[in-house]
Amino acid sequence: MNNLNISHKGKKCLLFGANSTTGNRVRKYLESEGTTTGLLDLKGYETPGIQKAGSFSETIIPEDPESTDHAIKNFLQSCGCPDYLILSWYLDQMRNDLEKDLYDPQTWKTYVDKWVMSYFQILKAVYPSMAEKGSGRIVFFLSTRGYTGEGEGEGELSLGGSIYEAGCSSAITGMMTSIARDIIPRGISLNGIALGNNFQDKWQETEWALNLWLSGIGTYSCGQIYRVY
Amino acid sequence: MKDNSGIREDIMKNSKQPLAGRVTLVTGAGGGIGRAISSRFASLGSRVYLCDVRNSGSIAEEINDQYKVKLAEPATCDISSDCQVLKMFRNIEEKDKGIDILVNNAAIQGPNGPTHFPDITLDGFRKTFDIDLSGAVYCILNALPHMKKQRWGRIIFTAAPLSSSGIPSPYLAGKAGFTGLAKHIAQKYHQFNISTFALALRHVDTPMIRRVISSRHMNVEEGIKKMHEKSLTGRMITPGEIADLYALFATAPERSIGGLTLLADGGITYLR
Repeated sequence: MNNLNISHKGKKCLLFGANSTTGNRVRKYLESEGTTTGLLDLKGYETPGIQKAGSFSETIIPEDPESTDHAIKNFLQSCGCPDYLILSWYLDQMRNDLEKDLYDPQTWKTYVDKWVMSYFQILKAVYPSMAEKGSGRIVFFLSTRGYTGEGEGEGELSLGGSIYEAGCSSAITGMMTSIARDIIPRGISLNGIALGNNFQDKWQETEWALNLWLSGIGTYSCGQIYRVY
Repeated sequence: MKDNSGIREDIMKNSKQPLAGRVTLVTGAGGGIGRAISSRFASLGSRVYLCDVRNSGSIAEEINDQYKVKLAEPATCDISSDCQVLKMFRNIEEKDKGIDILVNNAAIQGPNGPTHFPDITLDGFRKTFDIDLSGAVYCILNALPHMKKQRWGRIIFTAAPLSSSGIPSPYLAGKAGFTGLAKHIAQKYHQFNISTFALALRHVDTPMIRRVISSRHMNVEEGIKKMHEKSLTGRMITPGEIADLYALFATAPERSIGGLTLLADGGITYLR
């Protein structure tokens, strides 16, 4: 049991980005709490050790939308509708790969496909089963190096990062806000956790934020972003 | 309904041609807001490229006739294609040094018909996203080298508040992307005297909003009246007022503004 007194025992979670630093920690944490996890990863990001750890695992190819639909279909057939859908991006890998804003539209397209479009498509594929069940908790991981909302606590924006990270993450904020309003009437919550520069050192806070969005507060809160920085 | 032309008079008081020698690119120049921006910037002496997927030659001619000088020029381009954007910039650079002021204004509301998440397809999402955000990214990546080299640049975004309800997800993704890019670029490139400004708009009285109302099978005039009434000011902001604000930013003293997102929604977000 965690400090928010939420039980994850017996829950089913579909986790995208299981090989990211955060995704791997989310998997270990939820499994230690008794959750069954199904793992999804992008082709090229998967590692056999982690893939084997989940009760279900598939890789998807962002350029091939059918591979995502196929993977989700397999998950739904073998595990049923997930209680949780958690989408964790490979933020640390991206930050290591990108330092300069060189003119490179291909890099932009690649990250749009892998990050923004994958989030949208996975959500599209899982949504009908959650809508039919009338419940579900969805959490998006994104970056504080982009727009994370208005008003107070707007979040950290550092000098680091790239246009690609800021653009994609900000776009996910907008996408999430719009979708959250559309799906909350069906009993499905969608909220975000934005990770800052040193997110690897702040797992406890990330875990707390995850529990916040997986808890009953998710019934009332929609389209909100907790910033870990 | 009165246009707040006082802002424009303030700008003109300081200098007749504060943007003389500057080169501006306005995307979505064929729409109501883009046309007003192009005209206003030309009135302040800037050379203006009118970028639109449709040929905006007639608008450029109107502007040139109005100011009796050839400052406006069409730049036909589908900004969702990085190849076309590159070609447009190369064409501009053959005539001018590069773009000093970039106005990212182009946007489409989204796939015709569905506005709610369950009905929006991946293909529809991608098409809107590519115009609304990827197009701006391609323009920025092409404009930045010249701005950095001359150590001066202004990038302006026509954004929207996150709190806008009933807005399709790909459209809001693009608009939130604008706000993020405005902040990111301002912080990262301030040492090159490149600054950014985003205006978060909710309802603007333009032909586009009339088309949206019509597509929802509503009476257009009644819909427009309701939108005016939603605002605490009793009316929507006009394209002319938006153009004035952009001109005010472009002519601001160096480094006085950067990364600012101004909410211009008639008080709907915080006061209603």
